[in-house]
Amino acid sequence: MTSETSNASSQRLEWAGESWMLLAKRAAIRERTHTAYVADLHFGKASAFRAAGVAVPGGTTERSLAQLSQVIDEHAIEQLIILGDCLHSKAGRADSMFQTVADWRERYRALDIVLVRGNHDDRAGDPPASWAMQCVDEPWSADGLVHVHDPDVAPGDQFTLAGHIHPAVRLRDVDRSTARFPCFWCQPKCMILPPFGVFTGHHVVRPRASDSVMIIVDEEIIDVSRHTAKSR
Amino acid sequence: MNRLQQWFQERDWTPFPFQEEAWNHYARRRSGLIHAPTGVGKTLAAWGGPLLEALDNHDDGKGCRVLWITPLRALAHDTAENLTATIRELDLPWTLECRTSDTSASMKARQRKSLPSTLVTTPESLSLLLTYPGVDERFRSLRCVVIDEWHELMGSKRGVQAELGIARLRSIRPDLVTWGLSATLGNLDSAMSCLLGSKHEDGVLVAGHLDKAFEVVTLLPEDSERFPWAGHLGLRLLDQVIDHIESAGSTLVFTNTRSQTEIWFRSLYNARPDWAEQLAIHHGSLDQKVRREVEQRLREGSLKAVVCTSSLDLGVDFTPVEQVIQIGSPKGVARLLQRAGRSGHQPGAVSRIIGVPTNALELMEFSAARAAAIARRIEPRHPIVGPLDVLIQHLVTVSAGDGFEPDALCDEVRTTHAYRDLTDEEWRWALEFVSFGGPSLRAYPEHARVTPVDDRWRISSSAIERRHRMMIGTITADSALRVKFMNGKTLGTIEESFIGRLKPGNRFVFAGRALELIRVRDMTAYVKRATSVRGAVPRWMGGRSPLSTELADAVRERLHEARHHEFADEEMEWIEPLLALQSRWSVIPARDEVLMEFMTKKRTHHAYVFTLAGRLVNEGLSALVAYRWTTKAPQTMTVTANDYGFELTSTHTIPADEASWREVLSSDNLLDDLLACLNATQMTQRAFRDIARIAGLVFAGTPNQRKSMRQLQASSDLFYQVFEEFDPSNCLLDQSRRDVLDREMELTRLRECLTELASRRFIMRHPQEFTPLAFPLWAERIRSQHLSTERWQDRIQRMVLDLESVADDQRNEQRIQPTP
Repeated sequence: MTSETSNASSQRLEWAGESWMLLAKRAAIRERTHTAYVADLHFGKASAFRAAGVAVPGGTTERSLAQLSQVIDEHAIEQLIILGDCLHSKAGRADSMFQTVADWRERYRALDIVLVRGNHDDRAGDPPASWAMQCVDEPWSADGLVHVHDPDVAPGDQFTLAGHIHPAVRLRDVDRSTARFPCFWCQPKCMILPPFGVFTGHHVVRPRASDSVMIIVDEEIIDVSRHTAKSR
Repeated sequence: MNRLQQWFQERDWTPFPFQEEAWNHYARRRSGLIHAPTGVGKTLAAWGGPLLEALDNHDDGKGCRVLWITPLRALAHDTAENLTATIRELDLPWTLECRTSDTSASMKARQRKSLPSTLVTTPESLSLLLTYPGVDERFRSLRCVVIDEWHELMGSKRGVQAELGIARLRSIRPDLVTWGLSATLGNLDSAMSCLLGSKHEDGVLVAGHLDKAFEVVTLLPEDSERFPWAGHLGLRLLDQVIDHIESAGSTLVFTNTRSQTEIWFRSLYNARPDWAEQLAIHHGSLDQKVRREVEQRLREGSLKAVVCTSSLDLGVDFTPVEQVIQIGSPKGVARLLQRAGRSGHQPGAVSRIIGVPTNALELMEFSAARAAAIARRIEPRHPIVGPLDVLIQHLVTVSAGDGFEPDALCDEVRTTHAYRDLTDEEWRWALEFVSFGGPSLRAYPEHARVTPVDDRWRISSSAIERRHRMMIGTITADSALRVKFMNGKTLGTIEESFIGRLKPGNRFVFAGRALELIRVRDMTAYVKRATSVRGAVPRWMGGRSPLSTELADAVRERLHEARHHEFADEEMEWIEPLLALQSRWSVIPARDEVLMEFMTKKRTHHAYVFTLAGRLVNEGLSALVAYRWTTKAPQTMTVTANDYGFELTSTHTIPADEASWREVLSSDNLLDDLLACLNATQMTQRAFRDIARIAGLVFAGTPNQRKSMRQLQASSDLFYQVFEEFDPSNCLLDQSRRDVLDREMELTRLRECLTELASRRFIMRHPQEFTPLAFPLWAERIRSQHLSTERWQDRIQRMVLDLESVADDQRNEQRIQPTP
């Protein structure tokens, strides 16, 4: 596993014997096949809160879709694989949100989209037919890789892509102040993606020395793999 | 002679003049505020009026006549017992019940149908009662509302909740009489305004026993002993404390934090095992049953000593208490008097409080507090003005009851002190927020907590109604884990942040016992008795109270005297050597000076600024000053504040010339700089947590679907981010900034302080060592805040992955995401 150290909107990473591009926009790109991977979209989460009488502002779905469009356009993406939790919950299946995504899908008709169902999808149900997504159960193997939502389901001995965890790491400054950043958590056999959805939280994880960690700071992605506590 | 005077006579008592004065006012249907020290009979002063009225009218007590609001549910029970005794002895056919979160569901259901003649309740429970249809009918025969411990409620959002609730009742019963009971305050006029709202000019002020004598003495450490400058818990005065407890019948030992309560209880217990049966502990985290038992035994006089926190500041009298010991500085004049007033209840007796300093500077604080108390410079309580989160909650509350007509409700809300200046715009925003989530949500009809139906606005669904009821109690952030023995006995509650740090098998001290954690499940920490007493003492949040302005001024006065070699009492004489050291290494700041000390240690630069303005102001001031320095040169500064001043540290040099300091301490551009500085810290985001909870954005979940505090907090952070990005004009964001500016940074006091500092002389010193004034700040830097103007991208280069605090994160942040 090697990586370049430049602070930019993307980071290159050699993983599973091929070349990957990890984006600050929270997508991973497999360069050979022009496939983009995203995890944990949680579409309809804001609607679900609104349905429960909680005033979440609108615009989160549009923001996610706009970012997805940028990823697809800038990197000539031919296939999009969603690593679970596309829909947030049953209560979030709002017509307006369905229509917004369907309209977006219309613009990217040629794109092949696969959804690896996650725990939220199991309860929320599959997306409507108008989104034209191929829905598969985890673990889903294709083109030499295993795709899961929950990394616990990963086979362990094969290269696997996963979501579910919403990984973040905490960094400590010399004055002991700390800050938390969402990250790509790349283990030797399993790459865990940060959540793509706008209205999602994070969970702080504990990477090992053999892992690659790329944090997302605003519009940049930074490799912090070697920032382990030398001071101690 | 009326029946009540007769009742007094039968007991060989005489009513105090202030009690009769209050009864007479009540007979003329006047409202007002009764202020008097603790334990001189305020309860009977307020209760007598309604009783006499009932006796005169041969009242059958059918329907609710008196609503008695108390700030703590723990007090409700005792109050009810007291009031019931008089009803019974006067043969009044009245009923009296409590309604708090401890009341059984069946009792509550019965009360919804018909209320007792007198209902003792809390502000939250009153709000809850207003969510059930039939409010008008329920309070049709109400004559009087009494609010106990009004000084305690009025400066809080719960006080605002009470104001709104009472305004509702006044609309139903325009002739309602309201009486507030209060300890002495520096701003009784505001207390009256908050209590009576737009009718405050008709209110009468009744004062009782303000001349009660008190005495403050301080335990002085042996001369030979070296006394620590900061941080020590003062246990070295344990033997002297034991001697005092031994010499008196019954003693209350007040500490400032629950952790100190545990430590002192444990120490007394270990030192005097023979007192095992006569020692007790009392604080707000203990189970209600445990607390009640202690209170009962205290009344009976069968306890030698109770170690307690402010949990025993309030409420009913414990006449047998002979002496009060205060561990650590009282931090305020009112609190000193309140606690002193817990002893010496016999007529003519002197309230005596024995101060136990936990560091040398606290000796000066005791000395200053005594001087301020004699001069009756007592702190005011600043009322909260116009919080939109509480208003939003109230709108949903009223919509669930019988619904509301917006114009009428707006007029009603504006009769309260808190919302008298509510603008039309704010009102409209609040209405929109509950109906479709505010202007940015117009496109989402599915969001509506409240819906207009034929001019009346009503709650949208029974599901929302149920959830709203569950959330009403959340103005008090009461989220903690229960501590329970495996056999089922509950000991109390403890913050998750403490338990989260323990592993099964770890020992800790709680409720005066050494315990071992077995496991945590379903919001309960299961424990068993530990054989060894060694263990961590829990740390509860919000334990430290800042020095009040009044006391800070008094301390400044003491230092001024010391500068001129005047030592007013034995406390000051005792710390003379320490102040002499300060003088030798630096200087003792006089009244008209600001002392600044600069020092460089291990390539880190330290600046100390002694304002003597109290911790709250120093916190705001230090953040502001750090912000201003860091904008001059990008850097990361660490700031620490205490009651005396603040410390800034940086790897960059901190200038020590007067002109630059005059500039960073200037009041020009104050608001803009403060707002910018709020963005650089996470203070607004933290304040937003409470607001999100009260306004009903995040909720604790239903009993069978418990959600822990961490998810609640995290999702409010998430809400904050989403609002900031997608709805930046949301008024709740604005309120969180205002809350921080007003409540945390005390903007008004900060502005005054800056103006005042500008008139002082700046004294710059470069001592070789940490001076006695600087040392406590240096020792406390663990609590510091960080302020940075560097880009993250630059900071990250030197940052390291923090693998240790993962446990903390799991506590403070969201796991995956809450599912509604």
